[in-house]
Amino acid sequence: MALASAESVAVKHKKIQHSEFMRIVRQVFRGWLTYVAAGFLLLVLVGALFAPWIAPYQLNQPDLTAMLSPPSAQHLMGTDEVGIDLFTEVLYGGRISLMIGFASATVAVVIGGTIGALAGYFGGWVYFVLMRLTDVGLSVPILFVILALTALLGPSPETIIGVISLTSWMYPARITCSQFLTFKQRDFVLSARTVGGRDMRIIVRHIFPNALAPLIVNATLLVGQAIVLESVMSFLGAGIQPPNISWGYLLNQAQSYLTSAPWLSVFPGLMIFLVVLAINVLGDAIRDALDVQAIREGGM
Amino acid sequence: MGVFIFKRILQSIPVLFGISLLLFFMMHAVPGGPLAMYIHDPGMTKQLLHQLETNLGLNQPLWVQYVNWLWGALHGNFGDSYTYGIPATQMVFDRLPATLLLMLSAFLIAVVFSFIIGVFSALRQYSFWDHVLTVLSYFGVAMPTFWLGLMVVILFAVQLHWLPVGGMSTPGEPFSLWSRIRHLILPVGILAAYLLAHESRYVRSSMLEVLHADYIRTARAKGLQERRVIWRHAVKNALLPVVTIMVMDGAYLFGGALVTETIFSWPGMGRLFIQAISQNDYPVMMFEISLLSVIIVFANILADVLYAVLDPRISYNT
Repeated sequence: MALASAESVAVKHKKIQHSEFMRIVRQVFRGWLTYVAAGFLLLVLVGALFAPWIAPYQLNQPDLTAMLSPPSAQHLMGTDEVGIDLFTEVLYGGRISLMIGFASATVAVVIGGTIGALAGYFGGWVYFVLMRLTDVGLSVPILFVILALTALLGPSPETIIGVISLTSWMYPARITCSQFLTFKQRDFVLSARTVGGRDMRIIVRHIFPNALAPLIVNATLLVGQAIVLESVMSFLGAGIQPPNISWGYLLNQAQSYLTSAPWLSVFPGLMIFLVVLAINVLGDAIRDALDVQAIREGGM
Repeated sequence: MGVFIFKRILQSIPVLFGISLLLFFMMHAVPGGPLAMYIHDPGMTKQLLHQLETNLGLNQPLWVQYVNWLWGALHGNFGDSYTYGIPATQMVFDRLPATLLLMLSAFLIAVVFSFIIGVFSALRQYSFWDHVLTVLSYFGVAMPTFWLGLMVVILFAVQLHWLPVGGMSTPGEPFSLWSRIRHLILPVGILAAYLLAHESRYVRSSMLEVLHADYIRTARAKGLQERRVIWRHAVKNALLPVVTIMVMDGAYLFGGALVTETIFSWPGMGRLFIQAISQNDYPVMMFEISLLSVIIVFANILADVLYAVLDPRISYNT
């Protein structure tokens, strides 16, 4: 009797996963690599968020007794030319780099998603105009335009976010547009319209959730792209300026010390590389889990 | 075929138009307009400023200025460099060969080797080497070009002294092909690395798709030599989607060249652009962007045409 009741208790507590979302999440985390990538990103995010509490030294605390010293027990990543701890700089720089990366990707996806949705849903001349606009955006040499605009408008973090978004919205737009073109024909849209649903409602509540999948993949990869773009800008001197620092800016400063202090170049760049790598791995895992044909056709 | 090309070119005219509008208004987005840098000049008086404005036609309504600029641009006149006084076009064309040398070498190497690596990887799917190459391509795609450049310079030029640190030639060293190649190795290697990583993955996946197709099975069943099956049938069909990617990547090369030229002090268009920015030399900046945009638009057309040419299934009358 006791055994039977124990069994029935066990059966009663067995949960059956119904949520589509959870199914996808589990599929994303199927391989060990995704755990590593996600774990690393989480680590970096936490480090960046809690930089003021984690950093061993103050940010602008020159230590003239330890200028240009290599990595050691006191200074995990070494020091720069005035003795400021590189690990601290990397932590604080990560805040700006990551913030700009996420913000730019978000704005780009919002802009591109809206444009693509409108173009795909309404078709006709709306489609024509918006797609030409997208073509224009894709035809300009991105880095050049970014540098020119930043030089014209001044290198504040807001400008940088805006400029990067302005040159990255094209792929989300294309993806969203093709998704909308596909789903527009489906029966559930027809039925929504028959019942009297207005355009806006159809777009937002019905089509958009279905169009989300490839957009998410693209958004993930965009974050990595944005981080690299910001780093390139700062590296060339046209990006983040002091007192703000970013990984790219650190690399810019490191150029003068290639021979004397190579660690100044190694660590900030290593951070960029590893973060982008982790993002790519994660993005690929998400894409494999979602397995939508439209992702490939969308241009990524 | 000709009609197709003509229609594609026609389609790109509104795009070019849009680009020119964008560029023109970028120039005037600066608070203070194109003469912003002169305002802070201590020797500048209100009178002189006004004179300059009249001379340069900056006091006319905006759309008039745009039409004038566009008219001049279509005739090849992009104004004179603010810093040097010589025509912007001349300044850029002087540097063009150096950049082209860099870009074309990188492109060639990337295309050839990504091909070899991609096919090799596909033929040995899931083998040890395939895994190694896949990991390397992941690395290559994530690697920031300029960081790789710095690392490579530190390793090869500074520590090992095998290769020169930068420039197109070393001062005092007599010109020779070998010297030029030595100076090219690092920058071209850096540029090609990203392309290689990116394209070899596409070649690999495209090859894999093709290798599982029915017509390949038929060819093998017919008894064709494996080598023939692979090279004459599989590869040709695998080429298709990759070609478009490769042409698009060519456009990336411009931006990549910018960074590479800075690191290696290569005297090309990219470095000129950076200089122009710091000197507020708008004519040069605008001409470079215009030139590159036109090249990119035509590269897109080329990609479409190539695609239509290579795939007999696509009708030319689309």
